[in-house]
Amino acid sequence: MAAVRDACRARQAAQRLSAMLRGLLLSFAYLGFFGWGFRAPFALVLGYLWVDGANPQFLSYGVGLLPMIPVSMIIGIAAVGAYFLMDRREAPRLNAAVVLTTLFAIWCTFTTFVLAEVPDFAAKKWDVAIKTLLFCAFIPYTVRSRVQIEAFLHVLVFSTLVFTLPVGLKTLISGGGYGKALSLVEGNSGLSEGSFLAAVSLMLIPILFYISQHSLILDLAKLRKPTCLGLVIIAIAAAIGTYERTALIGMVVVGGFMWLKSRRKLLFGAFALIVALVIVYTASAGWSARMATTQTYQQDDSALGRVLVWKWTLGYVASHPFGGGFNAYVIDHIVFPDGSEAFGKAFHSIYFEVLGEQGFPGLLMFSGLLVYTFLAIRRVRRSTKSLPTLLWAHDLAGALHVALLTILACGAFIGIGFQPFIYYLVMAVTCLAENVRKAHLAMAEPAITRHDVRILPQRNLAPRPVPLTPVSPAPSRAAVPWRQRAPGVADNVRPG
Amino acid sequence: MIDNFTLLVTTALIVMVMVRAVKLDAILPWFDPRPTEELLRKEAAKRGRRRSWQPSGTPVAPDKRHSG
Repeated sequence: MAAVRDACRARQAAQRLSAMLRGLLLSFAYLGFFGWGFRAPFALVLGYLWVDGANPQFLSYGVGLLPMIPVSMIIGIAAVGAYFLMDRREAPRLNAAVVLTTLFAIWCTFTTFVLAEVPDFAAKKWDVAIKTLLFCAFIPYTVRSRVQIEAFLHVLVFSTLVFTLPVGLKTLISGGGYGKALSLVEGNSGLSEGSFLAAVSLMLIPILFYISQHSLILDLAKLRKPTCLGLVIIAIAAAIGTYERTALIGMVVVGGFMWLKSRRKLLFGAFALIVALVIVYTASAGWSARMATTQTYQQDDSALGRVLVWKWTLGYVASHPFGGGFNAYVIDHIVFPDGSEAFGKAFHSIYFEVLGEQGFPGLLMFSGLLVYTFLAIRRVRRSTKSLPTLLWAHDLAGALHVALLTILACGAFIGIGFQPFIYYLVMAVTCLAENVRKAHLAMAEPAITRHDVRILPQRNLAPRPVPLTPVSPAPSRAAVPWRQRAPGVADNVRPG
Repeated sequence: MIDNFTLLVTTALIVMVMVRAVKLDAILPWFDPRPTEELLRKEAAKRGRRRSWQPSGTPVAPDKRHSG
């Protein structure tokens, strides 16, 4: 008996120590963003992204600095303040994405405080959604260069991995299950919710492929490619492990569109086929049975309930064209064919969520944002198609296209219209389009070699090119001896 | 154990990404892609020539196959 008691005490002590170390690790990481933010303010935007994606305040288990302070608000204010005080350079042109996102935020505020069916409940969701929308409208002003865009995407991926990695690993080791608590944070909200996690996990796949091919930040190519491939497998495993039907739709979309955009269709097709065969032959009977319900949705209460809620929404907006404000679903009332009733069933679709909550004007703004994004992707891909120096932008636009299509396809069956991931992807495309526009302008000028670039390691300013000798065309290595340097440039500097 | 491993790895990765992004962003021009290409070529050449015991900042001879 005493031995059991001692073992319990030792285990509790180990858990306390583990929680304390976690809290310290996350607190130091959080403070690190501020430290580097003074040197380069876009680091604070990365910090906000990390806080928003990984929710470190919930992962600290009440230990350390983070659970005691409003982490998101502090770093958000710091990011905006640092931009206005230290970093207002190369601001992008005012574009439709920023305008539409801001208008959408204003409209959401109007519906919440004037039209809401359930004002108190609507205000709770508004408090989250307005921060997402306004911060996303701010992102294009701070994320401008290629490195910043890549850093934004890397942090987006690695923040999400906090939820994807444990689910994927546990699924690979012991199998998943519908409604099983495999994530770091228990509950049914945010990325702890199965279908949302599946959608986001699959959304990461094209971005991981981009990172494996083009990342400037992770420069160990030999290590980067197998790591990214491993993370792709873990993302697929995480999606399968949730047992969500949304995952099946997402896998079809991500696989199909990535194959269409692939330059090596045969190789990618073979890889996709192997993955599909492995899934079919290793998936449990429970997973197969769950997927089979997509064909018999009329007998499945969950699926049929969604269809009935969507019908209710169409009827509701016919009489309330400006929507019912956030969380308007709580007033719905649906009747199943067998006579049973349900009240307050959620929209389970981003399109019906936006329509029911923000009405036709809101849906128009949201659709306009998506249309603008797809047009921007098309513009970027066309303008970079035959330029080897902008191959990264061409591939990144393709990756973001597939990622956006995946989350929009999955989002047709889950209510994530005001979760930040869609808006992050939209803003990544906006930043990329602006960067490519400026790259075309820069390339129209005489080439500036790296020998002409002054390094300013201790300042918060990006390097100002000092055009010593405009060289056109770009000099060969024979013409520029390797030890030749411009003032202040050390040729053997190896970043990182 | 998986949970702690996840937290450790992802946090380390994110901090590494932030630090390296800040350093790279201060070196590379923001919009002209040509110096980036040049840097990448140079990095690849250096990586090929550096010995494992040499620190990353060690000056190394250029790759003579392309230097004429």
